[in-house]
Amino acid sequence: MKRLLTIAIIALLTLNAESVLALSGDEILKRAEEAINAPRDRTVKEKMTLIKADGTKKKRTILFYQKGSDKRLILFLLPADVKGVGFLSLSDDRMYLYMPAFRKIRRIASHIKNENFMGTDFSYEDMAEAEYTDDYSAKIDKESAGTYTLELTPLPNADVSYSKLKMEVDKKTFLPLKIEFYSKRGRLIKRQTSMDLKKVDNYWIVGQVTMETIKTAHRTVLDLVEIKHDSGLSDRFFTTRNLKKQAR
Amino acid sequence: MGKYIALILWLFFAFDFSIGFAGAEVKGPDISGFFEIEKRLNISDGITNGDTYGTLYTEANYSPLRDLFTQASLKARYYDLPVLEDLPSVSEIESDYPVDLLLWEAYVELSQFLWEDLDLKIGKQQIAWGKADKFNPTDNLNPNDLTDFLDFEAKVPSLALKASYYVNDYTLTAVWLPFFEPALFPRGGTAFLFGQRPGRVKLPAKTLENGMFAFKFEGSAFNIDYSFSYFKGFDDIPVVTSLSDSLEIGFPELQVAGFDFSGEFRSIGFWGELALFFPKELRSGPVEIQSDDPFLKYTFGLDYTFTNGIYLEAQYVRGFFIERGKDNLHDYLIAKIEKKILNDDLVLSLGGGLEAGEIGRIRENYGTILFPEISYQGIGNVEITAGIYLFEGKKETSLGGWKELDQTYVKIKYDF
Repeated sequence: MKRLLTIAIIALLTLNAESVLALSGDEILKRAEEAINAPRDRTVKEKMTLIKADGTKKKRTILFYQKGSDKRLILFLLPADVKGVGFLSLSDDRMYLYMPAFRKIRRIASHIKNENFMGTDFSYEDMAEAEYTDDYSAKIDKESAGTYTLELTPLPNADVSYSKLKMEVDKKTFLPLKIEFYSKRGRLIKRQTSMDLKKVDNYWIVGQVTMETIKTAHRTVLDLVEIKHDSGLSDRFFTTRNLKKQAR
Repeated sequence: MGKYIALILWLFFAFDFSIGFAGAEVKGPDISGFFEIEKRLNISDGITNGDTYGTLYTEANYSPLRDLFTQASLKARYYDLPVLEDLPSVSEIESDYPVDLLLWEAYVELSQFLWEDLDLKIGKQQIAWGKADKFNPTDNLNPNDLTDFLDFEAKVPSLALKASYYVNDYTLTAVWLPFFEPALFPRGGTAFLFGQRPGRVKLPAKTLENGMFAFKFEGSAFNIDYSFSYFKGFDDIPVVTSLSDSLEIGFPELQVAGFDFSGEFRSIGFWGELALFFPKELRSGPVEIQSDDPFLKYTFGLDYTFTNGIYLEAQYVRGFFIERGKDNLHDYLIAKIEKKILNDDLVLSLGGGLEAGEIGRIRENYGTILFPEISYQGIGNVEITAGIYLFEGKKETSLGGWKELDQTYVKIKYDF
């Protein structure tokens, strides 16, 4: 009798555990977003390589600051032709660009979201924020031993440039390993792949991100050089006052 | 002598003569800059040789402490070979060589000075105000740099003390310029404004009373950025101040109250900039040269990027930068389309403008400009640009009056 009771309890617990572990697409997306935005703030120095289809390369160095999911500040350190250019992205689609030659900060409207960011394969939208759950609903398309593949479709009235995203999420870290971006006409236009996952300061991070434009076979590769987490960046860091200061 | 002072100051900034403090966040010293050569051909009446412009710009930045930033920059400009008419001038070519060496900016910036919310910037500096693109009637602090007349939005840095105080999303800026500096004119001098006449220039005296100042209050509401500003100083573009036989030009006092805004509606960017000018009355004997009636100059603009990547910008401008007085302001519609291809390596743009001297009489009083341009930036830090300026219209208008300035240009720029 005792044995039967033990088996029944184990069976019940197992069923219960399965129902907990069976995450929905939206829940996985939320976990992915939380994994991306896990630290309170992040400072990253990256080498950016722009690679043409014929293999010609252009190299740049950028500094990337992030706080939460909606505050980002990006500075170009090298080479000389883009040095000092700064980009600030805040909530409500507020974006500012600092062009050092004019000593002026210019507000840029969200019509530019779909455009290449400074000649890279990332768009302004890609660089601006990682708040997928605000704009997309997700359903599980496929599941393998190590990954979930989600299909993200825009929520009604979401102001996004893509008709659909396919996101492959790592089951262990919940970081997206691959994202495919589809145009409004339903064509695959870009593919982002993440490699070299590692743990730094107790956070899972990606060592290399590649964004490829399918039509031109042009790629932008971001290689991590240095990273700092939770260094106490205040909200005041993400202001136009500081954009100018950091960019010079 | 001025050239040598400029060079010494630049060298001081370029090389680290100071001792860094332990634990301080130090940046630099860091040297960067560019050189650019531009060749123009006049195309109004056949193809003839035009102006040559060469610029070597270099800046040195140094931040010995986290809240202390310094910058000094030098600009050397070369304007083609001098006119050599006799033997002595050939043998002493260096004395006539048309090169300007200017200490461009040289300032010290103290962030969080005394209070966390106060920034101070002292020295020769560029202060750019206004939210419109190039046509900024509220931007009256630095004098215009008209050495290249077609590059009319360029400004010359001036000696100033600027204090900015930040409270939440609001910023209050105060600027004091201890003395007046006039606009820089092309090698042809003021001929394009006043013709070839002998004359003299009357500059405001360098007294404390003639110091210029300005204030600006910036904020943000309903996702729209805005600012109110006020400027009291002198007009940097001269006017004729005496109607006697010999020409006398001066720089009258000026006050400007400004307002600007920028935001977006359904992804379309918009901005506006309004400046109410309060000129000083000028008389030559019984004749009024300049009225003290206030006049309003403004710019309204929109921009949008279509899904095919074509960028469109359109601005409506009331009053070009050289126009003064309520009865002398013309209306302009300026538009530009731009397409970047090959991951921004190649930029194609087509700009155009229509000027109306009087909207009701546009057929008799119009001017137009067309400026296509192609720019390539696919090799290292090199940028190659080629374009054309084509003017048309009635002589009474600004654009129509520049008909003989039709030209094509090629320029090459290298950043280092």
